[in-house]
Amino acid sequence: MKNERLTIFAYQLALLLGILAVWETSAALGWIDAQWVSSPSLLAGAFKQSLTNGELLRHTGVTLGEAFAGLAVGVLAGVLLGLLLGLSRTLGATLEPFIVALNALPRVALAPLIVMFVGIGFASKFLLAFSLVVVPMMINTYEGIKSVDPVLINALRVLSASRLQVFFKLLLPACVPWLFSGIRVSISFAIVGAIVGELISSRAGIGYMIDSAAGSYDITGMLMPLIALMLVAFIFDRFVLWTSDRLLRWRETAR
Amino acid sequence: MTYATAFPNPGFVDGNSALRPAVLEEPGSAPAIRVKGLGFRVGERTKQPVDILDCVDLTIRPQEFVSIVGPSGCGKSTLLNFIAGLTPVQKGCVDIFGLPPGESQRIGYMFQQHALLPWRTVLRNVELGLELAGVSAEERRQKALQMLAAMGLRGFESHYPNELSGGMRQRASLARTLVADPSLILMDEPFGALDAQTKIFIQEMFSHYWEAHRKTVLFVTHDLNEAVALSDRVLVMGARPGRIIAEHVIDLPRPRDFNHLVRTPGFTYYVDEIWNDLRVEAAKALQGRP
Repeated sequence: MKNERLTIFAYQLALLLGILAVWETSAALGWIDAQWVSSPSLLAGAFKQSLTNGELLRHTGVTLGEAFAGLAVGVLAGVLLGLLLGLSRTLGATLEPFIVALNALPRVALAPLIVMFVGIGFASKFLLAFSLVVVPMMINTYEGIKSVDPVLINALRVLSASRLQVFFKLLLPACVPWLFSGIRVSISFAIVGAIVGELISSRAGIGYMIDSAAGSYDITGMLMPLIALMLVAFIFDRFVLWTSDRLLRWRETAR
Repeated sequence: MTYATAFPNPGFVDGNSALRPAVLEEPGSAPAIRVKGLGFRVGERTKQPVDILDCVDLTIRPQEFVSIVGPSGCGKSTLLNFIAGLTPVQKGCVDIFGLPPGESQRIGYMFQQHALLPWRTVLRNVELGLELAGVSAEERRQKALQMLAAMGLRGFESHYPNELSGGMRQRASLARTLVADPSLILMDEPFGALDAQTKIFIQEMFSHYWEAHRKTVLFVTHDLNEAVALSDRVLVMGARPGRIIAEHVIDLPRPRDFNHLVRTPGFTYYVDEIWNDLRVEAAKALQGRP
């Protein structure tokens, strides 16, 4: 078990280093034009410089602030709406097609509209992130409630459970795995929302950094903040996964 | 583990057949279950309403072990759901210890599926009923541990249902049902999904528990051997619409030793008799299928 994990980690490390090595040598030997595709050493240099002058941290902070505000409020609202739909059969059945339609809508395309409504400040990025997060969270929660085996509900009812007890002892815990998978998807959605909002118009954030670097054909300047953001999102996702693994130990089968 | 240690103080189990249900029939004592003229029809507003149950009558005395056998789809589980108060009564009447179904707090119901909450450990699952009833943490833990030990699950208290075998899950489920000390236990093919050896083991365990505690049991099964081996009385249900078509009083001595029992002529006689009633109904039920 331990050995297998170590082997896989070694492969992953080798793959990462391999990609970086091929990229770097190709750029150094002139097989590819570093002007257009940048290179690991150029990115590292830009990263170091941006880190020392504080630019990267400031802009990442702005983007993460927008994304996480949207994520937090979106998750909360989505879960509450999902619970509401799951608990009232009539409401759930009535709204189901609307939710599906809303989910099919490419909500990123709402960005220009949202900017027109609330301006180019924090609110537009927050709302965009929120709109991307709230629907999948609502659907996941709703599906979680629907997935509860009716036998379990009956089992609680014959044990004289009240409606409130059925909710807190059965329905809510049954949703937890669904919430975690929803949150993991939502992390990247929230960041997409924030960045798209910034690309449209902004004065700070990763999207702003990318946009201004694009204005001067600075490929390295465009890629560097993206990769930095990717790393932050990756670490956060790992953290959520770790938390969910700890909380959902009951799903593992006996070895 | 022997049953003597599992269920200390078996009380009045004295090895003779003086405990036959006739003895328990005191005049004036309220029946545990009384069902009169129970009917159930689905699709009332469609062109082809289907009668699931039609005029079901039955009376179960306190401390009696009654099994219901019948072809699949004859409405056995539906009947149990009415008695448990899970389905509201449409037509006819049902009362449990003189109360409408759902109002009696003393019913235990065990399903074919273990119906354990997967995120709770075995111990916390067994505690569930007591927890819902507001029993203190200390007391419910004590009772649950005791019941788990009686079910041979000592050492598995902190396992999750996912980590147990099918037989162990079903025993945990049985422990959850019994720990609240219900006066009436409804069982819907509780051992149906188990492999043959596990099944015999649990049946015997439950039979000994019953002989020591004498709860009222209404047991639905399609296994005639199981019905005869466990019961005081076996009711045969007819194919759709479901109703009681025959009754067999099982006059076999208790305590029953399963290994010995299945080879006695008395046992096979009952199984054959019940099968004769059932065969016609089972054929009817098959014909009604596409």
